[in-house]
Amino acid sequence: MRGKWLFKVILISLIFSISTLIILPEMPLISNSSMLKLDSKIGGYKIKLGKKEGSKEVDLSAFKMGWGIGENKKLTFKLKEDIDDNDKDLEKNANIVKNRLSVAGISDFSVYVEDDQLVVVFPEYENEGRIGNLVAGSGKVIFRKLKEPENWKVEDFAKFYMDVNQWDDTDIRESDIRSFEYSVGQTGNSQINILFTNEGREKFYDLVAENVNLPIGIYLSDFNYPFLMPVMSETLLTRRDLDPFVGSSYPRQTVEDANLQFKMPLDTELSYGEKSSLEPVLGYDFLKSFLIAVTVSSLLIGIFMIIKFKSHGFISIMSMFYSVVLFLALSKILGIPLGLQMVFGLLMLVGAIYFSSYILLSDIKNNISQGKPFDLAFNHTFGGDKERSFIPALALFIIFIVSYVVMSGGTTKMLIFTMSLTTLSLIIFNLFFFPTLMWVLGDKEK
Amino acid sequence: MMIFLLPFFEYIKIVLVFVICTVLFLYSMARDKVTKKYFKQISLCSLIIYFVNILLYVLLFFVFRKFLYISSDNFELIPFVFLLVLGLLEVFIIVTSYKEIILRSKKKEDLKNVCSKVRKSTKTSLIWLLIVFLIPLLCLLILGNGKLEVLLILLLSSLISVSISSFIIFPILLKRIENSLR
Repeated sequence: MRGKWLFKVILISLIFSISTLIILPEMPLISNSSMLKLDSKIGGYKIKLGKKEGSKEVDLSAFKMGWGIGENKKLTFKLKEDIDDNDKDLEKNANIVKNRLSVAGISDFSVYVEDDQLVVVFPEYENEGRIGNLVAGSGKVIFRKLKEPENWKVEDFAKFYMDVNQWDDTDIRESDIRSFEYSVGQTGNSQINILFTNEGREKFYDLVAENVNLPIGIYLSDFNYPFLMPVMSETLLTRRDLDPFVGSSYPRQTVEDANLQFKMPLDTELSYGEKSSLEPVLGYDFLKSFLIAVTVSSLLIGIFMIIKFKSHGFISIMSMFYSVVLFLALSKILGIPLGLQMVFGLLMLVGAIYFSSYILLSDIKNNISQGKPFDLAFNHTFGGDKERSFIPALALFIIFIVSYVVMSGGTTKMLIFTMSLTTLSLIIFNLFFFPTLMWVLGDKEK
Repeated sequence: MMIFLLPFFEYIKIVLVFVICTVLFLYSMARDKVTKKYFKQISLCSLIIYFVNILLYVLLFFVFRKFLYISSDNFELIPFVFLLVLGLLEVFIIVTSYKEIILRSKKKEDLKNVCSKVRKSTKTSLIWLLIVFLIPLLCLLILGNGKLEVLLILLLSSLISVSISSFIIFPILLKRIENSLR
């Protein structure tokens, strides 16, 4: 075997070994015999990146459980006011909530109406408080000014922040605002740019003029605490044509969530109901049957491949196995939840690999039957015409990367991300695993 | 109103990405003078395949929707992505055979003979494309303890639309290219 191929084979074994170690759950290795004393473990690693405190930790102890397989949380919401046609209003709200959660990037959720209630089910790892706000936030905005400005002291900030009774409503509402935009100021502090309509901006600067050196409360979604409570400075009035920037300590996500509530207001207001945990819909049983089904179908197709292509068929199955292991390892590292998306990704990967193998092996077989030696047939298939195997895989990979950029919504993005990984594994199969193993194990007479 | 149309736009977006990228890839594949001449016809063929696939799938989806309760958004999106992926593979199979016919006919080979050979090999590839996905889906339907039935049926309906377009549209398109080469 020439050095180049030997290097490739060693690389494949390394990739396979590392991928297997990543996939494995923690398994204790204990021996207490006269020959060997061992107290160790293999798999389920937690790898810390960086030496500083708070550095990122890659947790490989278990696959993240997604919709259907892992436990879910369930939140229910009721209409604040009971009306004749509750279901119709709840259905409208359900569509709005679906869009809010999708755009906010919540993965694997489901929203439906049941027993006069709006039900939201989501995986355990999603933030419950955030989802509660995204669902129940009415999207209403109101600017408030102090009832008794003479009592304002900076040191009493918390008192005014906590007590909604300290404030009077103004006429600046959600219809006066276009959006809240997150940005980072020149000093590196986060700030929010409030984009007003022309009329809204006029009203806002009139309010500022009345409240110089006093705070203004910007309340969102009828919450009891202001979303923002900036103290108005006189310098703001120097450029009344500009939309104001307000300092804030919120992360970008909170501002974007606030924007979502405000841009997609609820049709009728909702109030928090109950919180409960749900058993997995599909559960581990499903995983077991899925694995059996995939193994049985792979065996059926694999037997056909071995009958038709003999040892070459076996090599394609071996390469497929390596690609599947690599796909699972990449999924675990990148935190793709073990759920519908991954199940679908695996189905696609196995199917696409068998399809690709069939095309490539048929080509090799045709060339060999025309009297070409194995190495020429190999070069013709893997070096020349790639239009039926490699190029579609590359096209799919690029398509999924582009789709990931242009699409929105957590579930959609997660599915497309999984598909990108699937096609990446397919490319590695087509470009590396399969050709290398075919060359090394394919035929001795070259 | 725009909010309710949002999911619909999302589907349009992904279809556009698939179609545009496919046409760009086909253009990059048709670099030589001979196939470049037929690029319009080839891209039109790929558009027809995508269009017929989506149309058939939408019809089947609404038929199945009457009988099945589709509870999760995933159940709508996954089969649609599956359909687009199958459509892309189908396009590449058909376009490669187109190219082969064009190139071999320009080498003065007997057109009838070339077409029948290519038709046969393309049919085998298309059948194989359907089989490699059909067998796992059927196994999952039988061995999956009745779970995910809805999703599996929708995935099978994607396969049905692709098989219809493969075995009805492909011979028609092949006939057209045969006529145009004569």
